Amino acid sequence: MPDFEPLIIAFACNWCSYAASDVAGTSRSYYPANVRIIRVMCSGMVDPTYILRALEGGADGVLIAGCRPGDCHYISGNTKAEKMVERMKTLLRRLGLEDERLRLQWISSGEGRLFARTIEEMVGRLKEMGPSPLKKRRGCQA
Amino acid sequence: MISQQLLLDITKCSRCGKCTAICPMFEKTRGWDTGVARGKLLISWGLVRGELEINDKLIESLYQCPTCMLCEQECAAGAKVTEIIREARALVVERGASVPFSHRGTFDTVARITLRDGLHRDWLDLIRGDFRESGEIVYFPGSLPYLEPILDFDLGAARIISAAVKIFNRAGIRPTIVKELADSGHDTFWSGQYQFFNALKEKNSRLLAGAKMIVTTCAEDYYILKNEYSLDAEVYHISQFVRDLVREGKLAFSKGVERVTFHDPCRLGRHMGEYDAPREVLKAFADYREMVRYGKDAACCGVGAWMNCNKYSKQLRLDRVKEAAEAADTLITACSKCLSHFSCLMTEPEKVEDLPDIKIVDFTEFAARNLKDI
Repeated sequence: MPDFEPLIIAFACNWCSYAASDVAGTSRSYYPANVRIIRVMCSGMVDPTYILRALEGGADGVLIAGCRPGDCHYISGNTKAEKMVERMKTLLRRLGLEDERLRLQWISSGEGRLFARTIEEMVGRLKEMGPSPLKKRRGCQA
Repeated sequence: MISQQLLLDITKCSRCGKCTAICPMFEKTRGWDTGVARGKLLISWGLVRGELEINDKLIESLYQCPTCMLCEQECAAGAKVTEIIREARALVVERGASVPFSHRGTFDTVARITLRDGLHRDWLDLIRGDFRESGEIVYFPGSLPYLEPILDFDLGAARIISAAVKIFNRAGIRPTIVKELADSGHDTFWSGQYQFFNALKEKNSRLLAGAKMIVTTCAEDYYILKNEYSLDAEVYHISQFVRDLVREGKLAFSKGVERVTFHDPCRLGRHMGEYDAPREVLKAFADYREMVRYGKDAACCGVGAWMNCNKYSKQLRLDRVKEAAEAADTLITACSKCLSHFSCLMTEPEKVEDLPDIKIVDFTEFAARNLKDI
């Protein structure tokens, strides 16, 4: 599918990764426009249901971006997120979705370049993988 | 739409108040009548007549009930309380309100995803044992493989499914496991989402069309497959299946010394009337003890159909686990909901005061562990 443009829902932590996306903007780093960023107070507050609802609603990939280990504003939110993402990858595999559609990335607040690169990599990989099997066909509203 | 018969049932209630003395949830909430069967019947009446508007209080009242059926069993007027509550919930859903699921509706979302076709499910590698993917004797694991990763403790889905397959294999059967099966729909049915339930039912019925016999390890799946699906196959709960095999001499157990007790899941016990099968099996090889409340008076685990897990349902769970700890060292249950609720409680020793020391084991796993070669 040559004209396939994947849709990524990114949950970015308020303290690091969301700031990193700002840095990416102010330093004029280019990254694809396929991402919709949702600011959350901590990557640890991302619930399994957010990921599933995003995929169910037609997202091709979900990115969870949090502070680097040890840097969490709430001490251990990011380690909680890491465990949750591991479990959710298992669930996605069992349900019949590729676990690569879910990605966890530690991005600290200065790393605008890393944020841009993460999105670029993800879009490239999702283009190879093709649309999510949960995505409704075109012409049919989700 | 609520049937005429159920509407008559609402009017049967003479407001005697027996349910206020027996409802396990009401004992904890100590609230108004809206927290107990006789109040909920009035609310249902108001909903049907269109005299009540839907608000948070009303939803809380209808959905806090674990539909354990204790009140219905004792009701002097014989009103079908659980069915009426379910129909009232369906009205709430029909009028556009959302269901207050625990875990922010994750399980509901998973059920919706299992409904989709064209996904290549991948969980058969969990199973150790000999099985096939099409045939007449079907083992129905329900949503067990999908529930486990959502919960942050070890539910043992792989162990339970493998245990069931082991039981089949010992009896010389290669069970069929259909990995494409959707969620059984028990929770969607009891939360009043009938349209959604019918879609699940249709998909599963299609996949189970060739089956002659279906065995489930979960009491809720057993309830829903037997009562609400119109399948040609005979549906058995694993406890009944094991009991029959033991009677036929196809299975045998080695004697154990563990003191065990059995928690009757409401769906297997009061809803389906099966109290004896698990006991007969357990008594055959374990040191079986009975709890204070057992059989048809068994207490509820606190939550039915993943709805409204809160501090009150946690108290119910704690009470039940303490009761079990007085009777035995191991608590056996035959429903994946009861199992996950009790297991969840046991993972929080730092949060719960005076948590007893007791092992929670699924019936299937326990039976398979004690199997003996014939």
